[in-house]
Amino acid sequence: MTPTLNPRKRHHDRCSEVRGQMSDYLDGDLEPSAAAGVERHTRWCPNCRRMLTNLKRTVRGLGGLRDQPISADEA
Amino acid sequence: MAHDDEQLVLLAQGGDRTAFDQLAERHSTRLRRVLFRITRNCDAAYDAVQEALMRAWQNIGRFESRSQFSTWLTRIGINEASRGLRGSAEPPLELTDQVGERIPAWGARPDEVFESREFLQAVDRVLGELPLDYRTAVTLRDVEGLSTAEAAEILGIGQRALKSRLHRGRMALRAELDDYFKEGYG
Repeated sequence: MTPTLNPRKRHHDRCSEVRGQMSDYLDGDLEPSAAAGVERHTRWCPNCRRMLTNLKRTVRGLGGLRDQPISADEA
Repeated sequence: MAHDDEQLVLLAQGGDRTAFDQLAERHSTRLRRVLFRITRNCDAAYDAVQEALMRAWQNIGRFESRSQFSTWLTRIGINEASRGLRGSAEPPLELTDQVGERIPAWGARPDEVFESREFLQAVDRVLGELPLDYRTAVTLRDVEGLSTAEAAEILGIGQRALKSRLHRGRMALRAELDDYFKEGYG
């Protein structure tokens, strides 16, 4: 991708890149430099920060389903 | 003395039905849980488990122990469950590109809200609306807590493909739950 000098376009591109890395970030599958990049970006980008927080809550909620009864006969 | 899976498989391959029944008992609870999350139907999950166990017993001689027995059995079960679901209407949840998406602001709600029964029910409901491939990947990895490698092996796909399904599935769930994050649970 050719770098652009347009700050809004650059921000949009960076948001897109970081959002694509969020799942791997939560799983600890990113290289340290890429993980640091996600942390740096989400510190100052409120939309991406909220998205990452909500994604964490979602993944944690999914883990919580494991102990939930799956049918009335187990409730 | 309790046998491990490897020993029980060897006995079962020699025709020992009791050994196979022990394997089945050891692994059918998790299998039923996984298949329920995929089928969203207790009867369908039960039927798929029974069918998977029957096929596993019939084919135990072909099992080469290159993977764990539980991995092999889960793969058979998912194939059985998926066979019953293919052709049925796809769930409504769409997988969209998140670029440019506006994320709603939230109020100051404590984190405990997101451990509540209501939140878990909401998560479970939207999980059931994910397209089958994504639902299966998310169920194995995030609900059952399997490793990426094991989930990929069960589904017979590469780890990169598994991660892609996982990411898109998680993001779709997160997007669907944004209303809950925004509005809380009253």
